[in-house]
Amino acid sequence: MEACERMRVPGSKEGLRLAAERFEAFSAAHGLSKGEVWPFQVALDETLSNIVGHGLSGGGEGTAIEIELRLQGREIEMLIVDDAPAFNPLEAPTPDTELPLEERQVGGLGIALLRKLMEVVEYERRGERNRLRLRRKLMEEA
Amino acid sequence: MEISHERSGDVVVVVPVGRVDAVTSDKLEQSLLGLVAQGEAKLVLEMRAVEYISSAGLRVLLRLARKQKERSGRIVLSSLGPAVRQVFELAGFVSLFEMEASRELAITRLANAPSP
Repeated sequence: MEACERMRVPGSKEGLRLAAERFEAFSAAHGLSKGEVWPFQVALDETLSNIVGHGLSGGGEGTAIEIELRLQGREIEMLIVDDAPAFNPLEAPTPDTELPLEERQVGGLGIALLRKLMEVVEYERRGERNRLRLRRKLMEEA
Repeated sequence: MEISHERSGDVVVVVPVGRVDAVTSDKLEQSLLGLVAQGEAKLVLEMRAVEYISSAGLRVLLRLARKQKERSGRIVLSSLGPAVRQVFELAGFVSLFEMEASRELAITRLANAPSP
C-alpha cells in the first residue's frame, strides 16, 4: 500500500487540532486501526506542540507548518517542516524517568517519548527551516 | 475530547473520551482540578476510552497527583488500554500512580479507604 498526503497547518493550537484530525482521516481512509497508528499521533503532537510552544512563540502569526504523511507498506513516514528557530530534538536533554513524584521533571518528556516511539528520527536544518523526518512500522496490535 | 463524571458514594469517576494531547489536555486539567478544588479526595480516572495520551496529558496527571498528595487525597487510574499503558511505561509513569484493571476495582480500592 502506498499513499501520500501533504498539508499546511497554522503554527497555533488550532493547527495542532487540524493536523490531528487530518492524520486520523488519512489513517482511516487507508484502513489503519487506532491501535496501529497511535505512536504517530503522539509523535506528531509532541513535534507540533514543541514548534508552537517554543519555536514560534511571539512571531507565530501567519506561520505555517508543512506536514507530509507517507504510507509505504507497513511503515509510515512523517516529514515536518517549520521555519521556527533551529531546534534539533536529537540534541535536547531528556528527563530522568525514575525520580519520585515530587522531584519528577516534565521538561523534555515529549521529546523523550518521540525518540522512544519512533524507529527513525532525522533532523536537518536547511536554510531557515527545520526538517524533521520520523518513521516507524505500524504498531502491532495486542 | 468529551469528559463525563459519575459519583459512586464518596468516589468520583472521571471519564475522558478521545485524544488526550496538547489540544485537549487543558480541558482535562480544568475538569480534574475543579474536582480537587471542591475537596473531592477520592478520584478515579477511567482511561478505557482514551485513544492515546501525549506528554501534555502526562503533565496534567503529574500536577494532579501532586495536588492530591498535598491534600492527602488519592487518584486511581483504571482500565488503561495498550496505547496509554505503553506511553506510561516509556515515560516511567507506572510507578507514580495507583492503577486498577477496571473502574469497579478502582472504586472498591478507594471506597474501602478512610477519608482524609
